[in-house]
Amino acid sequence: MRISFFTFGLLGLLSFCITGCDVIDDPVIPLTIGYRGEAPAPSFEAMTAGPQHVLLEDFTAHQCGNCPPAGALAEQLSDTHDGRLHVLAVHAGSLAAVSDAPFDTDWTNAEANAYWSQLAFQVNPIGRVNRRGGPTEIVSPNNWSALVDNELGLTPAAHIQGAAIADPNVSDDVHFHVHTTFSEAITGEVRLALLLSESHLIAAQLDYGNDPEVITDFEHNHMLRGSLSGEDGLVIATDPTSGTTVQMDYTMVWPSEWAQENSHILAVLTNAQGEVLNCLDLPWSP
Amino acid sequence: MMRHLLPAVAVLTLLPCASLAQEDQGQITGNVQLLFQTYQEDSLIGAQVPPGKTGFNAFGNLIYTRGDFSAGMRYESYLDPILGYPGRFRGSGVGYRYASYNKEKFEVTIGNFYEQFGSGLILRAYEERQLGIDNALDGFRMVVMPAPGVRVKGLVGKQRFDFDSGLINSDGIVRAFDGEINLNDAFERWASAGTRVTLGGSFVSRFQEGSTISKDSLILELPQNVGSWGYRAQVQKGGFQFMGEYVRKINDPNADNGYTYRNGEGILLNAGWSTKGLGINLGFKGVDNMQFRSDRNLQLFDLPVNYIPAITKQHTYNLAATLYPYATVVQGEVGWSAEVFYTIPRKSKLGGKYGTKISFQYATASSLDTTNLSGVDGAVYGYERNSWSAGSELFIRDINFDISRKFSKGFKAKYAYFHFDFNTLATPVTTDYKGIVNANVHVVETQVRIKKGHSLRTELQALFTGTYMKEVDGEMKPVKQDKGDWATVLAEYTMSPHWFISVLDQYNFGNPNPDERVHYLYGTVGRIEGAHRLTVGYGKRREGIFCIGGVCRAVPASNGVEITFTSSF
Repeated sequence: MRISFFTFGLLGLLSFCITGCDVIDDPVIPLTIGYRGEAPAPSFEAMTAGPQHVLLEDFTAHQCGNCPPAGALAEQLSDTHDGRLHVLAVHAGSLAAVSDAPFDTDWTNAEANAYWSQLAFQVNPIGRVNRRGGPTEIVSPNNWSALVDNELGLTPAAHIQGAAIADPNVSDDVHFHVHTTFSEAITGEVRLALLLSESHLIAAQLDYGNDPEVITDFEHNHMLRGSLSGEDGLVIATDPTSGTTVQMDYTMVWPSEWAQENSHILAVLTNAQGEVLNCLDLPWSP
Repeated sequence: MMRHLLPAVAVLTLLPCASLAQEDQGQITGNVQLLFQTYQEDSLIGAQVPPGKTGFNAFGNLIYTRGDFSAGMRYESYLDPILGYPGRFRGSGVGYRYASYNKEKFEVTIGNFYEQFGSGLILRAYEERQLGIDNALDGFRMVVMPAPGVRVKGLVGKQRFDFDSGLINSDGIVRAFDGEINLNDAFERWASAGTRVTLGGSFVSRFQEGSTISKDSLILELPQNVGSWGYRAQVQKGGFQFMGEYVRKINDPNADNGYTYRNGEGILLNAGWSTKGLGINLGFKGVDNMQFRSDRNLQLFDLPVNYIPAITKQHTYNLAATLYPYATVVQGEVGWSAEVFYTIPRKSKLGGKYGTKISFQYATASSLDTTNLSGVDGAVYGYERNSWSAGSELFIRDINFDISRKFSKGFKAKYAYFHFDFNTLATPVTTDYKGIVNANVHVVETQVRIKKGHSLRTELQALFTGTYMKEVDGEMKPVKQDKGDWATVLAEYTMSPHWFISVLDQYNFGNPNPDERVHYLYGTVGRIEGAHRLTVGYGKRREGIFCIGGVCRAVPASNGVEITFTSSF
């Protein structure tokens, strides 16, 4: 009994040693702030008027049988508010774990896990709408529509313009240009995150509303595949005043595992409390 | 556990002291320290005057003990803080509180606690009140002694960061454990061995939220969990003793290392041998990117998780201790020291009637031998270390010697000599001279017994700096380095057991600028009544760097009255 007690303790300590170290072999994120396109970065005029965009994060998982209806609702809202509501399907939580086929693909990633860990109550399906109230605030799918409407009616504190451009000369180089115009003063640091989502991914999904419940060729859309700037993004301004403009130009080598034609780059601007000031699905330019 | 903790905490806070005097209700002990200072303008020395014109720091400890249980608290006041203390400390409140239970093989502490693993290279939570440093942990600590000679410690907590009418902790979380085994106590066959061996190992991890940082044109992922670990051994046989510790730390981009991802590494070796009348100590220290904090964005005194000890001796004489004090270069340094103590036997021709003590020490610290990396590697990892040998930049060379002798029952004297080659770029103690200051310090100390209970102690000190060539009136002339030469005279008269009076004059007689040849005169009168001590001082204090154990703080010049009171019960 005594041996078991201390063996148990030693195993705990060993586990702590392993989890207590984030060894980063290559900390360099593929995106660089150093724009290296041959053509000059596009210039943007200050944007003095524009709509409020909304980020709807749908926390889902492939083994969450109640999640497909929430995903369908998000899709429907996206269609209704075309171009202003941006859906991000965040696969995270225990139901996103990998198990036997057909659930043997890991759709989670560091960013999805980080967002999941921020939630005040971790359950699938659940969502966040513009992270209003801070990253911990969760919204049940029943309330998504009303909150989205409410957010869409707000006057934005900042406007975003931008573009994603595949380099015509350098294979796999992609340039991102994000121009922000602040329409009111913001206190504290403002961060810009570039989040990548991918659609038309065919893989298994559990759906309690379907017969059979396991759908092996489910079409996953808006799936968060990673960030180009870290999940919180980079500080682009501190205490900006009304009228302040900031343009960020990035270049990255596009990872071959992401299908560019199915990908969306979502520019998400957040304030010091982690609330979304505005967001934009960067249009791909030829 | 809680059955014991909660009533005791209630007792501590609610019952009047008098009722606790009874043995069965436990015991309360405590102490108080007050420091009050007034400030006057003095443009000659650049003395600062805060808006309130006074400073007041006070600390009161109360400790309740009953059997295996103890609980305590420290009440602190900064109204406003004495200059030289962290200026953000404000108000009055409880800055430290804990409850602890120690029974047989277990010891548990909740609340605040101090802790040190080995020499502190990966964890040291401590208070150095004179420097305003207190990085106490606030959380939970457990010590287990599963077998004789074996001790395992585990802790989780946040560190004290600030004080504003109460304790303010860091955001980062420190998790740590330490194991130590004394072979002689743990194993029967070692019990009677002449060699005593203790082995230890530690692991410390810090969690702090973070995602990415940008550096040059790169975006870098931040590690949220940074781990550090170390091994140590202590061996003692007869007059010989050895202590060695080796530590490592994984990628920890922080403000101290310019947000580079290079792993940290450190090694500390000490060996000593002593016999009657003779002692020899040798030490080696190499640290490379080992500064570890619970907040990656802070520097200087804020939230250190570990402590990098100094290689030089802690000097006490005024000029040797305050003008060119060595501060550990936390980014990395390598150094070694050698120290010899010898007592010339008493009643010998050289030793005299009471013997003569001699000590000599050589200590040096330099930059690391490194090669800077370029391009992306340079931005991410900074440099690579070629070896543990000294690099091209000298930080400090400290050679000191002293000889002391008691000539009679009523008279003893000591002569001490110090030579410093001190790099003011590595430790910026002055803005008047950038480079290596060469300083020689001579000290003569005497102590005379006037009559029973009355004694006079004096110190005569002089510091001489080297010269350098400087253009003066169109001509290159040799000029004294930094502020030039200094002299200090100290006289301290003690009338035991109650009174003492002292006068200290620090005089910058060799300042190249005649207008700055200032006397820093300071007088103190004090009275001791048992466990109570009151002192009143008045005079000028020089702007400078105050160091303890290689950790230093800038202290501004001041002119005014200082009252201190300490008491314990």
